Amino acid sequence: MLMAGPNGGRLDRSDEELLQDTVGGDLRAFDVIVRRYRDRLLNFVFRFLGDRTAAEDVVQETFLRVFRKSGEYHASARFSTWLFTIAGNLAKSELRRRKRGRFTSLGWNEEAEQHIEIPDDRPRPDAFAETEIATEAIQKAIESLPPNHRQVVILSDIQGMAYEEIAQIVGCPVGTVKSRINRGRLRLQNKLERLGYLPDSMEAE
Amino acid sequence: MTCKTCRKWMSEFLDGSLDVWRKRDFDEHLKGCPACRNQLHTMQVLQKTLAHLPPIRPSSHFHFALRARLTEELGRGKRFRSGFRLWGLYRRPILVAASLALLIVSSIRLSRHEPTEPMRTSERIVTHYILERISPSDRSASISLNSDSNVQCATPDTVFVPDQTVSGRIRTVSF
Repeated sequence: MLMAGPNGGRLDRSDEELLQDTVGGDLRAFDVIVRRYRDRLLNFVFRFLGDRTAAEDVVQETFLRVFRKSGEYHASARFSTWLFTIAGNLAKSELRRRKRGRFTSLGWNEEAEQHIEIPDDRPRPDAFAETEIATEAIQKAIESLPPNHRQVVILSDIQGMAYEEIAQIVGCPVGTVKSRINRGRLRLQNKLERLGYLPDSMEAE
Repeated sequence: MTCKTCRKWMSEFLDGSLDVWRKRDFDEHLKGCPACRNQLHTMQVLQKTLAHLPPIRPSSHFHFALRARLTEELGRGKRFRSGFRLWGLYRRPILVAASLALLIVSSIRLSRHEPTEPMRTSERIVTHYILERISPSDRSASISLNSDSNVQCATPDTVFVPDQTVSGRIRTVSF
């Protein structure tokens, strides 16, 4: 990205080593970091915000901040944890900014959740469109979760992170993370059931 | 175990982080509760669905935009580089120790040359070591001030230098 050419040897280096190389002026090392994490970060932020353009901005800002603060990184936490913490905080700030600017998504408060229904345009004839609609509905349902629940559900079920790592990222005890994940999943489940995108758990076996 | 408790522990059960005793109670409850079994099944489907959501790929201008922002950041960094380098020097312990030693030695040497009297209104500079080489009759004629007319000759052996000329000290007086 920054410079063309081989990344000889850099691909095998750990994140922490690459960051040290970046501090030493090796910009290709930072390029490897960007390539290593951009997709995961983009998916995390996109699922959180539901806006691709805003998600790309947040991810760019995350990398920029990491680049700026690369000399301040201490290996007390994993690099990926640090990265996701920065991205998560920026995504939350963006969400607040958008909320102030009336860019609200579907309301996530309890009352609103009871009344807002996403229009169901199904069924569409081809399977691809079907999948697209389902994906969009799931995304909307994720966005309807409170931010704290949304963040941990994405980190857990989409990013596949462990409770302990999520706890470090969101800065909460592991018990709180477990509770938020469970409540987030149940809400999401309830919403998607009502929309017909999940089997109805109330149906008799 | 009640259904409410069962739902509370459902995620941990699925994630395999439930402790042995709770898991046993959980299993027991599931055996006799089709509603919770259904709920558990739906949560499993949800987990799989979320795990298989199609990934988002960065747009074509993502790298261009990031590169532009990093280049701008680098340019900004260069403007402050000299300052950062200086700060970097102070972060090295040997240099810090050497600097401190130099500072202490300089302070001691300077303190030996400090006048004992305060320098608030005027500074009295004793010039015996210079004036004693000149005969008393020639002193007034011999003393000439090189630049600053505020330096005054008070007695044959001393001169007074007001505040604003203190920086010149004895070097401003020439013979």
